Parts: sequence; C-alpha cells; structure tokens
Amino acid sequence: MIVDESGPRDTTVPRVRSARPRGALWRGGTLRARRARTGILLVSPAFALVSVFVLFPLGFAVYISLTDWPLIGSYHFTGGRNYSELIHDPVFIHSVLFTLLYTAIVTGPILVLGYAMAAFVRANRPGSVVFRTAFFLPFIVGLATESFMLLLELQPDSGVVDAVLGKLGLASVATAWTVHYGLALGAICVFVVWFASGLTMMILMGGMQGIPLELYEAANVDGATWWQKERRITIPMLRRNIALSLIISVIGSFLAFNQFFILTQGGPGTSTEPIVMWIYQEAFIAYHLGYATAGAIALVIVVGIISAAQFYLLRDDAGPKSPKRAPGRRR
Amino acid sequence: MKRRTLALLSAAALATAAATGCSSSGSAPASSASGPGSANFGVNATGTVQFWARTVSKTLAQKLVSEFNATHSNLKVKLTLTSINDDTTSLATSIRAGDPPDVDGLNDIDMPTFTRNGSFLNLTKAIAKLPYAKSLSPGHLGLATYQGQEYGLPYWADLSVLWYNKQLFTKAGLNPDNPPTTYAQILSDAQAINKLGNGVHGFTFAGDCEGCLGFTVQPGIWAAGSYLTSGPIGSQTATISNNQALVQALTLYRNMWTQKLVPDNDRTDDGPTWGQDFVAGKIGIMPGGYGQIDDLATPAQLASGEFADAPLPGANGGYSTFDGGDDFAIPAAAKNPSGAWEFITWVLQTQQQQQYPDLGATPIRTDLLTPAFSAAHPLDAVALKALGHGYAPVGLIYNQAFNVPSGPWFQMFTTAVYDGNMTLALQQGQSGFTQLIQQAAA
Amino acid sequence: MTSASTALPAADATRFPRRAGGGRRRAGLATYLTLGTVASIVFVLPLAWAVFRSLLPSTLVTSAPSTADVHHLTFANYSGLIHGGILHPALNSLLVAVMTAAATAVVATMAGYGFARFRFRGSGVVFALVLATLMVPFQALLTPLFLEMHTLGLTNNLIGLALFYTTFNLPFGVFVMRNTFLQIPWELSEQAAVDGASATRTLVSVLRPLVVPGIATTVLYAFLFSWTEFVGALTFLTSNDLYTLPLALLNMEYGSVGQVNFGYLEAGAVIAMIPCVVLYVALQRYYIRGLTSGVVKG
Repeated sequence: MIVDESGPRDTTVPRVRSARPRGALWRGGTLRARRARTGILLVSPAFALVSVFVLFPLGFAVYISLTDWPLIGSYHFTGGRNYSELIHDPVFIHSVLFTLLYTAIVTGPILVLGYAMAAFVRANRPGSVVFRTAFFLPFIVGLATESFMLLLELQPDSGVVDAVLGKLGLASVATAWTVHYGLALGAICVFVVWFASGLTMMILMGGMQGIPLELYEAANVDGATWWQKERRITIPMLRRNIALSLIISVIGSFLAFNQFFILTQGGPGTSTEPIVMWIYQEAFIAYHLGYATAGAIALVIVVGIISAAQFYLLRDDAGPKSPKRAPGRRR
Repeated sequence: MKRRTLALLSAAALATAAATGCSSSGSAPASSASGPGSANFGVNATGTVQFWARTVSKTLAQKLVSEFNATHSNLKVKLTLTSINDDTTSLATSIRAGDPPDVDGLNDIDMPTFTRNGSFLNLTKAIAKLPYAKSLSPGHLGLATYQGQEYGLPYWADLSVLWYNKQLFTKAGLNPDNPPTTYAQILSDAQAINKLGNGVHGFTFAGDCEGCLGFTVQPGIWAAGSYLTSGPIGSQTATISNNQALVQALTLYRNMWTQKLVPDNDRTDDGPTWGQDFVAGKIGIMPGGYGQIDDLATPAQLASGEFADAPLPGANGGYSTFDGGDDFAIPAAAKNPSGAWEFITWVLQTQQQQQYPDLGATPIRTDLLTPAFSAAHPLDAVALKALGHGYAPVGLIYNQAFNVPSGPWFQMFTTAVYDGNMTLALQQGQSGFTQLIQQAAA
Repeated sequence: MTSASTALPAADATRFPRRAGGGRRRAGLATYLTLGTVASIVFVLPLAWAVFRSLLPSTLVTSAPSTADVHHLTFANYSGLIHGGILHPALNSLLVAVMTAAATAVVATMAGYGFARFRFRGSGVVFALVLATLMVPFQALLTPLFLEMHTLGLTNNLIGLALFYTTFNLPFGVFVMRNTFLQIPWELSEQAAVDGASATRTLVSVLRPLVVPGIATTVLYAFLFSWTEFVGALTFLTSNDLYTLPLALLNMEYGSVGQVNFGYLEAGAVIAMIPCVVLYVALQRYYIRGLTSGVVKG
C-alpha cells in the first residue's frame, strides 16, 4: 500500500493509491491524462491522413451526390432526386444483386482454402517457405494483370483453357467463356478464389504463429486429435485474424471491378456488372457524375453496415483470458 | 485541439476547392486584341505550349512535336500523352481545376460534350483565314461545330475501310483489282474464299466489340444516305425502326455468321486481338481501320501488296467512312492560345500532313489527294478519298449508345446477328436510342 | 531424483512421438512435401504458363498453344518493353512503393500502439474511422479527391501519390499492428515502465522484436498495393515522366483500336513480379514461429 503524500494534506484519511510505479512517469498531470495525450499523439498522423484523403473527399462526394454534376459545365443542387432514382433503376438494382451473389459464392471458399493453406505452411518444415511463396504468388502478381492473362486463355480455339478441357474431353474447344453469363461467372469465381486465398493464408498464418506451443503440447498429452486441436485452440485464438481476412475479402468482393471490366465488360448486356462498374459507367461513359456518386455513397453505406455487422459478430471479448481447458481432459 | 485545427484546415480546403470546382468551366476568352480573330493570332508566339494528346496517337504526336521543336526557336511544345480511357475525364477535370492544357487533341466524337458550354475557344474567324479551310474534313469539323460556330478543327483521321487479301482473292479465282462494291458482292466474294478451307475464312469481324462494330458497320448505312440518329442536339430523333439500310447491314452480318464465313472466335473477340487473323493471311475480307492494319502488318507485308483496301460500300453502291481520330481544341482558359494556334496551323501544313500515312494516320485535308499522294501511299489514298464522304454522329450519347455492351447498338446487333430476330432488334434499338437521347437532352 | 534418460518432459514426447522406427517421421515429411509440391504447382502453373507465353513472338502469343511453340522462344517482348522505356516508370513505381511502405509502417505502428495500449476519449470512434477507409471505393472519390489534391499541390507529384496510397493502406496496417500489440502481454511494457522507460523507448527496444512480424506484413501489403495500383496513378499523375509502371505498361500494351499486345502484357507482368517476390522472400525471416511461445496469451 502506497501512501500518496503529494496532495493537500488531509490528516483524517490517508490517501491511498493502487500499486503503480512512481518516478519518471509521474510528470505533467495524472498518469491517465499523460497516457491519454500520448495515445492521441500516436494516432494523430493516421487520423490526419484519413481526414484529408478520405473523410473530406467523402463529404465533398456526398455534396456532389445531391447535385446533377456533369463532366463539364455548371451544375445544380437537386437534393435527394438521385437517390430516389437509384432505387427505381433496374440496372443499379441488378448490379447490387449480382454483387451480393458473387460475394456469397467466393467468400466461403477463400476463407476455407486460405485456412487450409495456412495450417499447412505455418510450421517451419522444409519446403514450407517455398510453398508459402507459391500460394501467395497469385496475389503478388495482381488481379488486373492476371485478368488480362485469363482473357487471353479463355478465348475459344486459341486459349489454353479450352485446349486443355478439349483434350480432356470435358468441354468443346470452342467454348466461349466470356460471353455467357454462367460460364463467365463460374470462371471468374474460380479465378478470384485462386487469387485471394493467398492473402487469407498470410493473415491467418501470422496469427497462428502467435499461439503458444504449450497449448498444443498440453492437448497432445491429453490425446487430442488434429481436428480437435484446430477447433478448440487454433480457431478461437484466431478470431481477430479470421475477422480481418473475412472483412477484407467481403469488402473486396463488394468493390470488385477490374476482373469484370477486363473479362466481360459487364456483359452479356449488364448481367455481369458489379456495382463499382455501374458507377464507372455512369460517371465516365454517361458523364452523370452526380448520379454515379449517389450510387457510390449508397455502396459505402451498404459496405459499412455489413462490415459493422461482421465486426460485431466476430468481436473478441475484452480482458485477459486464461488458457483454455485442454480438450480431452475428462478427469 | 488537434481536431479543431483539422476541422479548420478542412473547411479552408473545402472552400478553395469549391471555389475552383464550382465555377462554370469557361472563363473569359482571351481578349479580342490577340484572340482568334486578330491578325497576330498564331504568328510568332513565344513561350511554351502544353499539348495533350491521346496515347493512341503517340507515334504521330511524338514525331510532330519533336519536329516542331527542332524547327522553331521562338516556341516550344511540351507533349503529354493522356492515358487510355482517361482522355476526356482528365481534360474536363483540368478545366474544372482551372489548369487546362493550351491545346488538346480530343477524340472527335467527344467534342460535342465540350463545345456547348464555352470550354473551348471560338476559332471560327481563325479557321476562315486558312487557305485550305474548305478542304478540312467535313465530318471532323462538323463535330467541332455548335450553333454554327467552330470550336475546334480536325487533327488526324482514323478511318474505316474495307481491307481484303489479294492473294486469297487470286486463289479463289476472283479479280484482286476488283474489290466488292455492294453487299451482294461482299457476300459472294467471302463465300468463294471460304471454300479454300485450310483455316481460311472469307470474312471476319470483332463480334464482341461494340465500338469496333460501330466503326465498321455504320459507314455502309451512311453510304445509302441513311443515319441512325439525326437532328440538332437537344431535339434529336432515332431512325431505327424503318431504316432499310440498317436492316440490310445487319442482314449481311447475320449471313456471314450463319453461313460460317467467319472464324468461331469472332463471337468473343472484344477488340484485343481484332485484325490479327487478317494479318496472318487467313481472312479474305475485313472491314477495319487504315491505321489498325498499318500498325499490325509488317512493313514487308504492306510493301508486298498482299493486302489492299477499298472504301466501305453501301448495300447497293456508294461509299462512306467513319470519321474517327482527333480534333484540335484550345481550352478557353489556355495560357498560350496564340502559341497553340501556331502549332496547330503548322501541323495542318501540307508537309506535315503528308507524313501521316507512314505514322498510321490519314490526313484531314481532302485537297491533299493528288496523284503523287496516291502513288506514294496507295493504301491511305483510298481512305483519304473516302474522307470527303465521311461522317461521325454528332451527339452527346455516342459512348453510351455505341461503346458499351449494354448500349442499344450492341443489343441490336447481337439480337439481329446472333439470335436472328430482326424485328425485336429494331424495336430494342428504337426504344434504346430514343431513351438515351431523351435522357441526354434533359 | 531422476536419471537423465527419464527426464524427458512430456513435450518432447509429442514432438517426436515414439512410433515404430523413425520411418514414420520420414514418411510424414514425404507426404508433406508431395502434397505441398502438387498444390504449389497447381497455384503457380497459370503464372508459369504466362511466362512461357511472354517468350513467344506476338504472332504466336494469341494462337492456340502447340508443342511446336517451344522452337520459337524469343526475348522480343522484353526488349520491346525496355526499348519502349519501361525502366523509368519502374523506378517511379519503386520510389512510390518504398515511400508508401515506409510511411505506412511508421504511421500504422504508431497508431496501432496508440489504440492497443492507451486509453483516451474517442479512441473507438477514431479507430472506426480509420477502418472505415477500407470500405470506401476510391473510384467514387476521384473527382473530389483530384480537386482537393490539386488545391493542396499534391497532384502530379509522386509524394502526393505515396501519401494517398499510405492512407488507403492504413486500415489494414492499423488493424494488424493493433492486433500485434494486443497479443503482447501487458507485463512486458509495464516492466519497462517500471524501469523508467518512456513510451517511445518501450516501443522501440522492448516491444520491437515482438512486433516485427506485424510490421513485415504491413510493409509487404503496402508495397504490393502501391506497386500494382492503377486508378489513383491514372487520375493524379498527368505528366508522362512521372508515370508508374502499371500506367506505362497499359499505354504500351494498347494499340490504336483497343488491341492488346499480349506478348508485352505477359512480359510486363513478369517484370512487375520480380521486386514483389524478392521483397516477399526477404521478409520471410520475420515470420518465425515461437516468438511468443512460453508466454501465456494475455
């Protein structure tokens, strides 16, 4: 028990403080205030950058969305008209539904495959660094470049996809992937899972390497199977990493653009047009910037709600945790 | 406290940006003492000229600029190439930010968007003084005209022609110096060549590239004196439903498709590989661009006479071409408009124009079609001849209508050519075009 | 009192389970290597194929693949790109990517530390705002962003571009760094505090070895992002000598009517891949397992 002598003397009740160290830290106000100031200082560069490059333009964009801002020339304030038009715009609605469908299809496989790969390469066994690099390589090369590569290979009669499938007898050599809705969507989904699972692998692997070995050793002593160890130790401890990779993956799917722009141009018709491509068309082809920005703001809101929901569902409870009871212990 | 400072900074930035962004794009034109009508406009200007050109015209622009700089001590041109798909946006944004180039080589079909709101200098008086004013490409000039005033003038032409393979013609028993001049002839010639087999096809088109199709199919319709849209901006109409010439054009392509006179992967060709089968010697007839094949074929091939071109014919004769390419424009807020005009007029001189064919472009003055030119550049002479009958739609909806897969042009094409439903195609086209026109006029 | 031979702790028994002979362990390793190799080949094959295509002349790149192609390998695409001036934009990209990676690492680490270890009013809100950046499709902000940056003099400027990239990498970086700091037990930093270290000192000397994997991830992600980013560079850079690699490649690959020179594209992709793979491999040594083993997760 430490008695505080620094304040005004009150001889009736000795002031007591909790067992915190004194000395060098006890400068300029209470420890709490000082730590608060340090904290603010530490986060202020990030906040400054975000304010200048995101929050302010976003505010400006909200303003634009309330006007009929054209590519060039004067504009007028139109209030909520863009938004009410949005709700009745069948092309926009379709792009929203298509984006949702696409997200629903790819999110699961990206997570599962990424997790499996992370579990496979997390230890420092011989070859694991090579395997890690191989799995991550698609992500490194970048989606836009790989979309062009895929465009070349999906051509009927000259691309390697049809050549291989034709030889294996699985499909005709003249299958035109990019002009049929189902084929195009299928090809793109497989492509994106190949591309994105490497990032999930890296995120989860980083987290897996932070889990203390003792937990596994204790579980081994109790004869836990590999699956039990994953389910009871690894997955719960990876909550934050799983949350991050899911959120990045879902947001990435919602904001998908490059692959569709390059491979199908949103066709046939507008059947494979995701939301960001709709925004692009309205802004840079039709030159209706005000209307396009309204769609963009709507997108930001939708993505925000979904991400908030994900954060909430995957939140980790604050506070120190005691090591989990090792599975298998029945005594 | 940090947060308050940030808020102040943001407010200041907002105010400044709003001030620059909100101003209507055209600031006051240069004073008439040195403006486009005056005698010393474009004469002995000094300083630098900021010239923005499209990357697709890179070879041409770089050559012109370096030559100009080498021969002019009083004035220097600084070239910036704008990125693909970004040309109009970067120009518009620069005008909004108050910092435009002195001269822009803008895609000619995008001109109407800018000419109607004072973004560009009115060059009518200056153009009238040019000795060759009457020979300037009518189509290009038309796109730069608004309410009778000219806000730009032609820079270079990217024209569509009918390419054909002379060797294959000979092999199929056709006269290689007698290219087809009607749809019926195109069809029969293609059928004859198709019979050669061995991977050879009579015809080809980029079947998933709406822009390419707009470039090559429309001239046949215009040759018959018919147009898909007409009228001044603000009160345009779409003439699809009863357009005989359109029906004939679509029927020709439908026949090509159903009779298998084209390679299978034409269906999915959305532009990146267009023309490569022709240059590989596997195609008899291909509507395409002059610059396109000039770029793709090797100099040896071009010199050997393996390929030749003819004007794009209408169903029963006549010919036309799509006036692609760029127009020159001087933004109203340009800092050196006189220098810009000096550069422009230099580019339009005969000596410079005659370098165009070797750089993949067609000159924009019809008076340059001399026998000497035809002898020196036989392939480009065909295009230049068609320039006099060339056209490109003047309107605000070209990109939305013709250059996107969901646009009415491509919808109409696919329904008629791949699905074979002409009635539905025409209906869709009529309503699609009308809707776009109405939206743009609003 | 136990003799050495029976002093083996249970832990050792799990690492090297006593099964019938050491052959079982070798078999486990063989399975691992086989499985890994097959999976790696499946993943890398499309890229290896692209490398193969990049070595073909432009006439063959877009034709149906045939075994005869092996006789026509050429470096023409690469020399075409280099003579077309690909090295200068590559250097621009490198400069921007390095600046972005460094700035992101510094800012994200500071912010991650601040959010994880310090309590202050509004920290939740600020954290949410930083993360919210992830959700904004910046294609939607291009016009307002351009006008704002132009006013601030940051357009047509590699530093402005790097700042822009840094901002959009912050959500990922801050999230990762905050996680990293949360995983470190409180006792360590407290101990340093008792010893009289200021916050910075604590961060730098005591916690640094433990946060390095997080920093490595942040650096890698930021580098890759800015190395391959295209839309922002397209919008904010107007002069050709500042163009970054993706822009330059795109302009070299496209012909006059939208044709794509696939040979150049594949070769460009291979060139672009190299620094990223090098960086990735170099950072691998920071991802070592067991840095926090022996410490109870707090």
